[in-house]
This record gives sequence, C-alpha cells and structure tokens, in this order.
Amino acid sequence: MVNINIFNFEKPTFSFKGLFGKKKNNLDKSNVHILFIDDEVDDFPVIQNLKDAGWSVEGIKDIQNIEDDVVKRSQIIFVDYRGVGKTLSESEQGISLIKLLKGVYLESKRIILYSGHNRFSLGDQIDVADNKLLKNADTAEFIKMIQCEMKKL
Amino acid sequence: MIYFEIKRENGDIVASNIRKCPYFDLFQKERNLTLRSKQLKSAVKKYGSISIWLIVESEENLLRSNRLFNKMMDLHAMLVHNFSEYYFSKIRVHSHTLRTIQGKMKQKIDGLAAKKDFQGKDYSESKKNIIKKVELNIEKTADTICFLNKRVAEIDAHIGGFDVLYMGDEQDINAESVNIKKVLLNIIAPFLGDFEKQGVSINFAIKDDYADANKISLDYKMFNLALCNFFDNAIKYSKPYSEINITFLKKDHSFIVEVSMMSLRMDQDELDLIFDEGYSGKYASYDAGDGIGMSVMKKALNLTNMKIKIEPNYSESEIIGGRKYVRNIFKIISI
Repeated sequence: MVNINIFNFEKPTFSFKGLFGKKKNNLDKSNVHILFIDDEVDDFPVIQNLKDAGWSVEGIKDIQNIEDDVVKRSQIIFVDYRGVGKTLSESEQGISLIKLLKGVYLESKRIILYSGHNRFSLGDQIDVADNKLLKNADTAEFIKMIQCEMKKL
Repeated sequence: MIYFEIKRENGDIVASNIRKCPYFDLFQKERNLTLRSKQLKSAVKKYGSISIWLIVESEENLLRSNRLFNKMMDLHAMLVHNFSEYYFSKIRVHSHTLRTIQGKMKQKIDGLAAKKDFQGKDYSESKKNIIKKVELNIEKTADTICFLNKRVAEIDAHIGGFDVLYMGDEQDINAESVNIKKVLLNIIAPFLGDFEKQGVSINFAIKDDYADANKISLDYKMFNLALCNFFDNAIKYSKPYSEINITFLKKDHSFIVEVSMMSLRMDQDELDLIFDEGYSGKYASYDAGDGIGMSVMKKALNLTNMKIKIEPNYSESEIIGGRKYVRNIFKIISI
C-alpha cells in the first residue's frame, strides 16, 4: 500500500478566499467551542491542558447522533483517525465520521483529523478533513491549530 | 552458497546478505552474468514492486538448470519478502504504541510546565524555574509523576512484549524468591489511577504473614511483563464500579494466583483463542486494541514456568451499556 506522510499537506496553506469576500467572524478564545472525538478521550492530556489554558473544550468517545448538542455547539472538531466512527465504517472509522460531519455541517465547522500513526494511507481520503495533526503534537501545536482554524470560520 | 538482495522500487532494501558474497564487487557492475569457470551465476529479476538480485556460488544443480535457478529466485522473492513484511507490520504496531505513549507523556509534562519554562542559561536556572512551578502546583505535580510512572510501566510492557513475541526464546530468565503480595502491589501501583477512574477497586485477599511465610520463585521481569499486560486489559474490560479480588495459595512447591472479576464475556470456544496474537475476543471488537496483550502474557508466564487458565462463571452475568459481563476467574498456576 502506498503511504504519504502526514505533513504532505496537499491543500495550499494560503488562500485568496481568506482575503476577499469572507466576513470576519467574532470567534475568539472566550467563545469558541472545541470538541475532541476520541475513544481514548479520558487518557489524552491535551484536553485538560487546553481547559487549564482557558479554552472551552469537551471530549466524547464517539458520536451517537450527529445532531447532538455537543456537536452543534462546537465550531472546531478534532476527530481521531482510529477508534471512532466504527459503527459507520469499520474500515474508514474517523474518516467516515468526518465525511458525515462535513456532509451535515458543510463549512460551518472546521474538522481536524488527528492520528497517532505518522502515516495515512492514500486510500483513506484524508482530504475530507480541513486539516491534520499528529496526536503526539505538543499542546502548543494544538493551540496554534485552533487559532489558525478559528480564523477560517 | 546463495546470496540475495531484495529491494523495493524506491531503493529501500527489504532483506540482504549480498555483501557477504566475496564476488560482490565483480557482480555489482554487471548483475546478469554467469561465470562457469568460477561456478558463479548472478541475475536480477523484478516481481511487481520489488526486485531480487541472486548470486549463486558453487551450487551445481542451480548452476546447471535455469529452471531451478529461477525457481530459487521465486522462492526467495516470495518467502523473504513475506517474512520481512510480516515483521515490518509488527514493528509499525509497536512504534505506533510507543509514539502514542511518548506523546501522552510529553503532553502531560506540557500541562505542568511548557517548553519555555525549562529555558535557562544553565541547568541550575532551568531547575529553579521548574521548582517554582512544582511549588505552585503540588497536586498537579504528583498527578504528573503518577501518570509518568504508569506510562513508563506501559513502555516496559511494550518493549518486553516485543522481545518476548518476536525475539525468540533468547530471554535471560533469573528466578528469585519473592513475596507475591509485595510483587503484585508493585506491579499494580501504576494502574491504580486508571482503575479508580473506572470505579474499580482491587481487593488483595492475601495476608501479609502468609505471603511472607510462603515465598515463591519467579522471574520478576517476566512476571511483571505478564501482569502489566493483564492489568492493562483489565482496565479496558472489567465492569465499571466493580471489585477485583486477588487470592494466593501455595502448597508444597506449587502455587496459584487467582484473579476474580466481572469482566467482558468470553465464550467457551474463545478461552484458548484469546491468547492467540491478534485475537481480541468477539465481545470486545468495538474497543479492541492490537490483540497482543494476552499473547504476551501467556508467553511471558510460560518463560517463568507458569501457565494461565480462564474459568468463566456464566451464571453470574450482567449487561451494562450493551456490554456483556460475566464472572471470570483467571488462574495463574506454577508448572
């Protein structure tokens, strides 16, 4: 199977869309809501670190209903690559969940795929996510990602 | 002699002993060459995304028959490639596990002190900065140290497990006389936080005097490896808000450690399968891991002359959140 590195982002990091025609949102640290969907949510220190740093963060093991309040109120959603969305697709797992979230919420939420694996398989359609991050990244990298994604909403 | 080199399309060598060939330099320039006078034949062949380079020296049958030579190439390509892929896949699983644990350790330290907090003109200044952090966050520091202690135990278990499963039986076994209660208390300590989160309590029904008077002989490293994998599974599969009872009995030179708990159901036909590498149990498919914990446990116990047996009591059962729990009794018995 062909693999590509997680950091081989195919999407350009610069977009004219951000300069023209996009209204500035009012999101900031005080009102943005972040959700982590991860089967190991109880054992993932970044969540507590973000809370301690003053961010509004919730973590759930999986999504029961795509229209649950916890999903609706979150603007930035981190989805684990493996261990979630198994009821949707045993093979795609996190990717299948992202497809569902993007299908329902379109561009109103930013969805970030993260993984403990340093490689994704090309067959996994990783570009369904808005961005990607390694699960063992520093808390500072998670914060940087949140700040960056907030601006894109 | 037969020398081979198997390469991927990108140039990565999958397996090779070709440099041991005394004629390596000669054939490196011209790889498809037969030198009958020296009883040598070299050839390269492509198999899908891999290529194989084979050099045969003084192997009369292979030198005389192109059909046998080609057959030998096919066999090397198939066997060596499949074996190496098998071991690569195992290495990937373990490297992923270790990376995950390392990530959690790093992030937990992050929560106490960020990278910039470690900055200083020398180690002494760096330490002073951290002392300030610790003094202001005593509770958090203790939590971080316990967390790190658990992760170090996990890393030990994974590295030890890898050795036991894939490095053959070349293990250094040193049995010594131990107090089983003290050993179990030591092993379980790093897991207490996770059991507490699940509302699971551990009850040691072993009297201190009895354990002291009835020391047993075991290899601590192997026993620790086995039990770390066991408790790691117990955290995942024991019934929330239940009790795990541990008993110990010694008679003459044999002994038995019994762990009784309400945990995920295993059917009768699974009781042996559960110790097979990669098998996680039919009732655990949703949250199963890599399915190696129990196989590591069995092998490590065998290496220290013990075996494990599971005795489920299906009459004591419960369904909670769609998960089927029964009373499972795990018996670790000296051989």
